[in-house]
Amino acid sequence: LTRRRFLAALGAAAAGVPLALLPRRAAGSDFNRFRVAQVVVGDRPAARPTAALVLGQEVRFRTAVDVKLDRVVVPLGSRAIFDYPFLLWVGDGAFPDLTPAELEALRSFLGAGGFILVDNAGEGPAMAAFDRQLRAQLRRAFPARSLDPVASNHVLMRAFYRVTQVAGRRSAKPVIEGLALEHRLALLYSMNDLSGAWSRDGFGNWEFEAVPGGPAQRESAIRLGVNAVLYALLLDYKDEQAHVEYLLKRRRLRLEDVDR
Amino acid sequence: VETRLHIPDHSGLAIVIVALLAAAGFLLYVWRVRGAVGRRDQAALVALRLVAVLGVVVAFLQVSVRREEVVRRKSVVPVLVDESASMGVIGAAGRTRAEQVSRFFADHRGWIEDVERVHDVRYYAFSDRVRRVTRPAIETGWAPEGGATDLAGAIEAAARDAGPGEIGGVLLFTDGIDNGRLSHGAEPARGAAQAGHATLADLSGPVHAFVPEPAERVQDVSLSRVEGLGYLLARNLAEVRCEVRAAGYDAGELSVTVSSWGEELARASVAVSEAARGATVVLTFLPREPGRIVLDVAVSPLPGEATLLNNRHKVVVDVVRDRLRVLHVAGHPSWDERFLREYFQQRPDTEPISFHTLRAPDAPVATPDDETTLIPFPAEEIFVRRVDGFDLVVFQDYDLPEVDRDRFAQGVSRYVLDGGALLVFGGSFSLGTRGAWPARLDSVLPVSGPKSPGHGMVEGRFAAEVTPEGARHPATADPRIAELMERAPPLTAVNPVGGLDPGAAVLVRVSPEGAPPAARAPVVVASAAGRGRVAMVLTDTLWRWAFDPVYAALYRRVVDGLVGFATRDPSFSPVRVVASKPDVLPGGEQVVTLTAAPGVTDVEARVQSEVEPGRFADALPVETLAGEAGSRELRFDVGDAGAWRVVGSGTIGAARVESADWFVVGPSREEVERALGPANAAGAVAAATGGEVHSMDRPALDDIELRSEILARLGVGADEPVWNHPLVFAILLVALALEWFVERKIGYT
Repeated sequence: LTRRRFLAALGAAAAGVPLALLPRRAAGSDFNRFRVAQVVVGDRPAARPTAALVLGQEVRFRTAVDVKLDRVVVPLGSRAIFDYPFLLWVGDGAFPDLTPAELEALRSFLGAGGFILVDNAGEGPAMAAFDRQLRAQLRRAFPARSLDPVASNHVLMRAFYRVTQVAGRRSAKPVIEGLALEHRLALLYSMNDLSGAWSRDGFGNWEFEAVPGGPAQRESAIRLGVNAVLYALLLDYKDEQAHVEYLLKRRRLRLEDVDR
Repeated sequence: VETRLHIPDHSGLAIVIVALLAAAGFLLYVWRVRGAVGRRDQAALVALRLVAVLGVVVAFLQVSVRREEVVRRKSVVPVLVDESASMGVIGAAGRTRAEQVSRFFADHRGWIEDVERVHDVRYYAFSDRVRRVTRPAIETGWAPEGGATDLAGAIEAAARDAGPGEIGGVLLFTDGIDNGRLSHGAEPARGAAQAGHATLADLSGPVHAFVPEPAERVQDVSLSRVEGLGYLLARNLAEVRCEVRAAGYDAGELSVTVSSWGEELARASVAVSEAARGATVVLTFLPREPGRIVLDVAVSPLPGEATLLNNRHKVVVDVVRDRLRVLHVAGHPSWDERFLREYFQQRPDTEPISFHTLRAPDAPVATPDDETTLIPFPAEEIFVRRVDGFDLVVFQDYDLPEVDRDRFAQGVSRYVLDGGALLVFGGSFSLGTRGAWPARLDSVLPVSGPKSPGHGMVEGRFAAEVTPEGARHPATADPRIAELMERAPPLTAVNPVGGLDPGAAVLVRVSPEGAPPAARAPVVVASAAGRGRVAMVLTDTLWRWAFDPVYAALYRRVVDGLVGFATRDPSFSPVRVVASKPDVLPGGEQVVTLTAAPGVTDVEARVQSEVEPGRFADALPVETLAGEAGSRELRFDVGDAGAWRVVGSGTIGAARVESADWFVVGPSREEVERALGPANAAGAVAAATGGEVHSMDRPALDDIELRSEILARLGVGADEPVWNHPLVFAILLVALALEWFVERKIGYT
């Protein structure tokens, strides 16, 4: 503690605003603002390194979520994951078996309320290898749970946008899968290279083409990403009666669009 | 001393056998001599044989002459005067039934003195219990306020007081409206007949009932039925249905009200012409807070009513909360919002309704509404029209909308001041961090705004601790909170505020890690605002505890405490009092349990009665609870009719905490509802005991018969046996010898 800070503290206490002059003031709490942190497993480098930042940017531009745009990469087995309840895990090939510490961290993180969006960005055999290994490791971590397709009328598809198409850079699988814990989706798994659709190069251009749908498909991928963030933050908010009634009445939502 | 023949105890079988043998022997002899001798000889032989048989029987029975000491004394005549509330009904000549009793005693003083000369007359007043009174007191009269009428109980108590067989008769002054054991519902006569086998038939004298003369024309307005007060749901519209009846009136308007502590909650009118046929009136009101309240349902009186007893229905009602309806409004989606939302969803007793701002008005990427699931924020609906329907309003990093902000703030402030619960969580979008402090809510917020708003939150690493005041406060008194907080992850941002309002309590404070104690700042503040309660959490980083597997329990305990405090959850009160009975008859016993949590000292209970609507005064000496914590049962007899309350209080540190429970003292519903009914029980009791029913105005006093004296046997002076007297044997021998001689003489063998 410096003499200046000590004197500032005494002065502030005397003025009845003890903290006003002490630490720095910020419009939003940096520790508290929403971040899309990328998680890595083992010694694998982070794939699609710009995707998390772009997703955060899109969420910031489109919604009221207060997003801090910085690039954060955290190892799955580290305590740091508990600073970032929303993690993006992009895999582009096989990865080593999760260590006991990583398995425990995964269980604790998801059990405590964290959310992981897993994206399979691999191509061909790499895609299959990541898929196989991910499912195997999830079975190890949650033997009683399974990855199940998320229904098209799940609240995830209405969390902000009405999402009707599940696609990323590619459209390999028309559904997204989820692992549910205590009535909430704790982990989403896409095989469509969502992060590829979100990636930009150093000049701000899209790094990959979205095929076969082009810009509309990319927009769907971004909307799905925004919905995933909003779902992580709001859970089944859009299933509440007031919302459903309004949407049924005013927005041509159909009963079959609502999973109730 | 009295002398009488005495036969010692023999077994019944022995007596029967001997009697049969004697009769058989005698009849055989009669049959044998019949026709064998002349009529005159036959008579002589039969007579002699009869004497012999009787001699044998006397010898067998061992008859003796007993001399006993006995006392003859006056029989006891209990005079039982009904003092139940129904005796206050106005009868003939504009006098109440109780006044008619007093007048009877004054008018017939001579006859009563005659009875006193002959009998041991004892005077009692009775309702649901019995007490001794004097004749002058009866002549003077008193206000009849007994809560119920138990005729059989009163007679039984008087008989017990007199002793077995001492009763020469009972003089019963009553309106005959029994709701005790004789009634068992609607049929006093049948009840009396059944009870007659037990209580009344064992009475050693008749019961003569004196009943008051009814009014020639009964005028009365009554609440004959009040429904819907079993229990009420907090913040749900309560509906009370009353049946109003009017008799003896031709025109007019009646007001029906429901009020609590002098505050009128609902009012309706009904015409007398409708009430004459029995009109149903529905009153609706909104009970705001859970807990016990005393409701007073009343119909306005009209001049000349026979009784006002049935114009009012005062009752203790439990206002219960079905589920905690929570309005959760968040300024933007955030982790703090998310974990609070999950907290409410996991509580089985809550029903959260959420409105979160999902899209910033200046969002750079605009999307047509049809492609989103956004809905307009119904600010008018929730902050003005329906805010009263919520048990708890939560603002999370939220400022009221700019348009119409005054009206919305007024709606929220009024909600709180009227008893609502407000929980405010800070954040980087509200409480003066980006704009102005929400001054329009200052009337309910426990802190004032920072001196220089608009400069954001204060960031850093802040260690949180429960303040000494917080350790005593019901919201954070849980020792586990302080224990967990000592090791909990630091909070990373705090909303700066100005001063504390008087009455506000800082429950948790933070200090930057490594800063001197003077740098502490409040982070959880609570206070009362009007009849409501407010708690503020001046950070948006509590989620860090919720998201930590170790400290999730700390998050839950803190929020549990704040919600419990704000919504007045009784389980968060450090001192509790519970009255075992919601209603008690005047003079009856009430039992109250006083419980104090650990750390509470100087615990005491005050029993108070309502001296005027909403104002209470001590009715009994203050009771204290020895020691610091624990539970004590208080038993006491209540006094006059009206609303009563028990206030439990204790000291935590320098603060005084208290809680209260309520009960009503008054006559039973049966007593009130049957006050104008027929006097069935008086006649039934008289008939069951061989007595009569007399009108107090025209009593046939000469016809009243009472057992004049009681014969009490003190002891046996002597028993002189006669069965073994030589004369008995001599008579037996002479009879047999004469029989033998006569048979020889007439030639009968």
